[in-house]
Amino acid sequence: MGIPASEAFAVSTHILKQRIKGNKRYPLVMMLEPLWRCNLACVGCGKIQHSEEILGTYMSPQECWDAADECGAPIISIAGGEPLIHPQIGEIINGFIERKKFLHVCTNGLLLERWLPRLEPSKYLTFTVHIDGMRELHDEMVDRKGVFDKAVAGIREAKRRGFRVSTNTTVFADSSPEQMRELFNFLMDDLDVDGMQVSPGYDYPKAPNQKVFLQRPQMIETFRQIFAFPERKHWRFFQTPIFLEFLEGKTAMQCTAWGNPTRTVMGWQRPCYLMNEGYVKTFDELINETEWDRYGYGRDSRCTNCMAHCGYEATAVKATIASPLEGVRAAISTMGGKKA
Amino acid sequence: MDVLIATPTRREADAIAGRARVIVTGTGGAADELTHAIKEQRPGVVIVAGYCGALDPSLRAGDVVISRMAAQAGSPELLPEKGLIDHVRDEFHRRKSVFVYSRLLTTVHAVASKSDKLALWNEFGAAGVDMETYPLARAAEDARIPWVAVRVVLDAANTALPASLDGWQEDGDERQALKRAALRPREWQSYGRLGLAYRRASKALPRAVAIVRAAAQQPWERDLSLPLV
Repeated sequence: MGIPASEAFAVSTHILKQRIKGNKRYPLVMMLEPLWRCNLACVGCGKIQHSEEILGTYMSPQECWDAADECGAPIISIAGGEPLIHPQIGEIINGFIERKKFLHVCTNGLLLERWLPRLEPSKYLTFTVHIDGMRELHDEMVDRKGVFDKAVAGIREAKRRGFRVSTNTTVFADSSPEQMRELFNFLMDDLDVDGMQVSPGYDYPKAPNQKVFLQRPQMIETFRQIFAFPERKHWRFFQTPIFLEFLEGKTAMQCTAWGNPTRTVMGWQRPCYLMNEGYVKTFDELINETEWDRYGYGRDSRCTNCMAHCGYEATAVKATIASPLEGVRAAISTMGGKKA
Repeated sequence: MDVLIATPTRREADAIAGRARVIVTGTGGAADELTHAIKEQRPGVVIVAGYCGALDPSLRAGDVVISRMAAQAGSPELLPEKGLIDHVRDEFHRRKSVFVYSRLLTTVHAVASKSDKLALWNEFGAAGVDMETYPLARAAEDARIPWVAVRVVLDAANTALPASLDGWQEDGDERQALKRAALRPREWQSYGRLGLAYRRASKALPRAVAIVRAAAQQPWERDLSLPLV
């Protein structure tokens, strides 16, 4: 099972509707951070360096749903912090499902087994478990032993209960192509995940270890090597083929920061999920009063080494929808992909 | 502030004509031409203006690129004076005129193919590519004259220039290219696209230059580390 046809259809119709309305900028995925507290302190994370007061602030379920209504994106990605720490996360998830929003809950997996009995599988719900490598590498990147085993157990249990599970892998300087090959083979063949996402790490200035980040030319070379392995054709990614080609440097793309607007406990984050220039109260302010052309590769030095999917996947999705051939390719690689 | 506009070709100068002092620098010896003009005219600001090819795939013909910096392989990047560039950006905002603020890359040869554009985009992250901005900015810096470059996209990143334009260097080369193209019917469609793009770009160029010029003529806070002539 890959991306449900209904999710792909919802995104396609959303884009077509926006185009018919003549909207130049519109969201595809709302990044929701209902809390910033986390139960890990990963070496490449720049999200959780806040005061105790802010880390103790949680959005209410109603605030989460209101943000989604205000934004209008067909897909909600709940991140953080660790969303499964939120005491009302079950209520939040069920509320989104009732609203027929496609939901990706991005988790490190530590609390997954605790929540699974309280939730029902749904075509609207996907658990996206963060896995940066096999046991040794992953535990090193999250700076705690045993996390890999716990996450793997969570994935197995989620699959056993009939939930859709994908993984999200961040590629860092310490991740060799061979290690990524081993990981992707394990995720597809052993864990039988429904799909994978992959993205190079963003060089957060606040991240504890600045040495883990790749420079753009290194990223391209690393992804070329990863995707050159013969097993590549059996790896099913929940990402467009255009985005994966972009990671290999085969396609030129500019960032579409407004495609993935970010709602946090502090408000709507400007300008994107990774960079923080402050917050605005409404989605309308974010989309209409941000000087979007200021940001992107070549335009802002902070974007120089960013090839993250939260900025470029929206560009790739728009390009996919615009081309029938690309649409077919995307369908084959996600919905129709098969394992070895 | 007394403004001198430097354009590489007569065609670009004609698009801007009548609005300011414009010199045509050519391509090969562009820096020498500008250095000579600076000595003679002693301008307060140099505006490098003209067309460029887009490397940024989000740009289309007629889009405006303002120099965040000038880049050239193997050379240190050149930054326009912050006070001047802020002034230019503010003027674009005030007139609600769209632009991107990015790198401009200078190459020795015309960048014609899509694959070459992609490789340069991955390596330099420059919005536009041309053959003159860097030496002209260098000449202005050597003379301690503040500079700003404004380029208008002629060919988008996802389009290839006709092969007969390969080797293009100067104004006069166009006739030779067209003669070659006459014998290559496959290129006629490319020339048709280029012609349409040129119409858009030639309308956008004088508008953009007028905004930059208006901003440059107003006083701004000078960078004191850059002594005046």
